[in-house]
Amino acid sequence: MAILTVEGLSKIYGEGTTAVAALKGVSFAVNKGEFVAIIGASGSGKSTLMNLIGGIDRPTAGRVTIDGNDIYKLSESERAIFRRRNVGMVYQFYNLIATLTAEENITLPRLLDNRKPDAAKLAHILAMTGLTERATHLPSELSGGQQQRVSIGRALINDPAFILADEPTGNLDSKSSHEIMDLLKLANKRSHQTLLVITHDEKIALQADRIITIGDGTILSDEVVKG
Amino acid sequence: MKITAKLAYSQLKINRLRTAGALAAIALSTALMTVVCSFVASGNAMAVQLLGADYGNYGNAYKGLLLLPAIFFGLMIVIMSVVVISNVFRVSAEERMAQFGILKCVGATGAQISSVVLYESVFLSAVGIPVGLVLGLGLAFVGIRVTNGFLGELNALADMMVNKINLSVSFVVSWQALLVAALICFFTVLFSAWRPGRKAAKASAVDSVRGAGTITIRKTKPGKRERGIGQLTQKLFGCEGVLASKTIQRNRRSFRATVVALATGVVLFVALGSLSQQANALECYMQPTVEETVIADYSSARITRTNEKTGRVESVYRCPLDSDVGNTVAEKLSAYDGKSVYGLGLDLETYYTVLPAEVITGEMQGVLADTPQANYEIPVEIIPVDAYHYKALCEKAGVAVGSTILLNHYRYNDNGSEVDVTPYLPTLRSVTLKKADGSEKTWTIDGVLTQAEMPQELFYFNTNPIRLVVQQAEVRGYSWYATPDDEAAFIAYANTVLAEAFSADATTSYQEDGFSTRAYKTNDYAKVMNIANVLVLVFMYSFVVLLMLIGFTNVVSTMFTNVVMRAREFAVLQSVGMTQEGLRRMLALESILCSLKALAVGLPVGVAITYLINLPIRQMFPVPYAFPWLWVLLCTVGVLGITWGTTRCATHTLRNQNIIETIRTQSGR
Ligand SMILES: Nc1ncnc2c1ncn2[C@@H]1O[C@H](COP(=O)(O)OP(=O)(O)OP(=O)(O)O)[C@@H](O)[C@H]1O
Ligand SMILES: [Mg+2]
Repeated sequence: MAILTVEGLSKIYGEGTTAVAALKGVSFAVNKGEFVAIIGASGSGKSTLMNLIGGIDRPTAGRVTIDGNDIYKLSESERAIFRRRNVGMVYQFYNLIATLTAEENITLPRLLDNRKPDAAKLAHILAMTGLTERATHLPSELSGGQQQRVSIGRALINDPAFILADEPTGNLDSKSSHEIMDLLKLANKRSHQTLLVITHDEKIALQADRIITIGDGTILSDEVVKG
Repeated sequence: MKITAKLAYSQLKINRLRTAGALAAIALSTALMTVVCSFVASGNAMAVQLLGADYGNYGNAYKGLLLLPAIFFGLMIVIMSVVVISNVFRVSAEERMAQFGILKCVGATGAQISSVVLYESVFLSAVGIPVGLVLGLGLAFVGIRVTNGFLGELNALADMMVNKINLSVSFVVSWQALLVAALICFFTVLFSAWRPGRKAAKASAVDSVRGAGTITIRKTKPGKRERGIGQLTQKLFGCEGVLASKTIQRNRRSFRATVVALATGVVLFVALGSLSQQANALECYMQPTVEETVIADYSSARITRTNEKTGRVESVYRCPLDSDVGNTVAEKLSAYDGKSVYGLGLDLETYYTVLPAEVITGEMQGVLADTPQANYEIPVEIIPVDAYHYKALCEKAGVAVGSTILLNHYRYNDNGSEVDVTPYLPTLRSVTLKKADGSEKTWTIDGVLTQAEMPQELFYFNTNPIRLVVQQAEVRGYSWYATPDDEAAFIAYANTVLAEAFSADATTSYQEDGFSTRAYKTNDYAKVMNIANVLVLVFMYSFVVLLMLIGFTNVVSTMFTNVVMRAREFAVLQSVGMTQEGLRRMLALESILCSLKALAVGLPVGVAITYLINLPIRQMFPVPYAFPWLWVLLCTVGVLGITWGTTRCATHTLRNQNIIETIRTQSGR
């Protein structure tokens, strides 16, 4: 069953002569629990696609449906709440709130919902990300890899159906990259969370169930890696 | 604590300098607002005490007198506060656009993000407003003490007043006043945060996830003019100058509040400086010109009505004075220490005359009407002088006692300067005095006194164009000028003489009696003017200084933020070879450019206002317009000093900065 369908998605930045068509009518579907890698040359439109799926941008044309919801039919705040509860996002630049501790950054989506962070759940995530010792540290007191683990913890805290990661290992050494990918795969395998990872790293792409290659705003190939 | 509140709180904690500046601005606004409200409350208490709960007959007029200035000053405070405080929130929100974008990615709604900014304003208000209320009460207390000091001096001069008065303001702590001040300030702060909050809600999530949260700078294509200025700056100030002017241009919005605050200060100070200059000139003009030190006077009440027969407006004196009585009083007063008292009566309103153009000098015709006419209608002034001095005047004019003497002199205010003219030609031999009831009689003019021949007592303000000295007349008022050795004793003596002569009941008022008498020192009026003048100026200056303090918090925080937030930029500049000295030069130039902008706006507006203030004044008094050089100079020096000084202080904090450290720590943000 498809949890995500993308239909005819286009995005044009700018207007007139300076207009850049970052996406030119991309369509595909992803099933629940799938691990999909998206690869492509720099500037091919990967991040644009991911931002549109995450609902933080607006498409020029096309539809994104998650779990039966056409997310661009929702109002801005409905989309924010939908994202908070159903989508976990991880970025290359960890994008943590500098004034909040690791623990607070992780629980941010729940705090925004005015829900008490479930202590057991938090302890579990801290343990899983190996941050138990660092829970009360500020982002500036953490290494790059640790910061990225915080942002993965933040993506997982609400048990989202969906995890979107844009070059999550782009800034990290190979050891940290391994740890991060292991974490994501764990979430994918154990909790059957659907995982979309954008990467430049071929080794990471090969771990996925399926690889979508983007080139110049269109899908060049879409192949299943393992049977 | 809610997460939005917590984010607001941590922002306040991180940016201490700005938080302190915002708190100071809020506290000062509240304090000023409290002072204004407290003065209204105290003034109200005084008015109720003096006039009764419903303020008596002129209730609305008094209420207006109390409320209109309060509304004016209140509005000034609110506007200044909104400019300054909203700038604080705007800068603070703009700096965190990346953070707001991240919050969006995590699923924060627009409302949640703007509430982060609103919470900031609530926290700042929660601390700033109570502090301001206390500060304001203290200021109001001091202000009312100062006022009472002035009023005490005024009360001491009550001799000259028609009614004995005892004015004093009591310090009233009114919870209504405090509540009003607190509410106004709270809503001002909330309003100031509201727009930046809405802007924050529109933060772009995409932008903030693209880079490491870099602040995007809008590119502007330089026009021809800007390129020209750029080349000029390059020539004048070198590379640092170009960088400085670029910074000012790029951060136009941040600097705008500073420019507005400084320019407002310049406008207010120049206007106030010129106002005090003009008030002084007015005071000088009002200084009595007579040498006598004490004046006793009598004045009848008057009603004006329209004469039924002729349709002309006429003045009827309730208790007109026969100049013979004035003469008697003059003799009695002279008996005090043997020095002659100068007595002169005055009737300005009973008679008018119509004179043909032939008897009027050309100059005077120009004063009387814009276009030449065949006949001129002129109000007549009748001046009976006491017997002793009348005789002297007759001798001077070379006429017999009993003659009518024309004072051939007219002084008027020509748009700010006093002009003396000789109004009538020798062909003027008689005058037909007409009354509003239609009756008329013709008086021959026996003698003429020129300006040079007139005694100083006859040069008082507001004379009619035609003035006749006579031996005897019924007049509205009479004044006796004396130069006693012991002024206080003479005033007491004069009061008994006046009471005897006019048997007034001292406790009844002017209106019931139909006349009033008093004896006072010649310079009492000038003193009252001076006290009122100084009182008003003290308050205006205090207000402006406090208002400027609000603006000053903005100048300090903008200048500091400008330096501190750009530590990374400076480190980069240093790493490509700019010296510390060059850096300081660049910052000094930035502050100077900012000041020049403020001066370029403030000085013309301020000077224009001083000119506008002078316009009505010089219509009425011989106070010509004087360009406020001193104030323009002081403001220029002041503004340059303030911005340069603050920048200098801020640069000082950068002195020991390590380049690598700065680049490393700031790039991870
Ligand atoms: N805000 C924007 N305004 C204009 N053009 C943009 C904007 N964002 C992206 N683009 C353009 O859209 C195209 C796709 O950008 P995108 O960031 O999606 O590429 P990418 O595949 O993620 O590249 P990379 O691998 O380098 O991250 C690029 O040509 C880029 O220049
Ligand atoms: Mg990208």
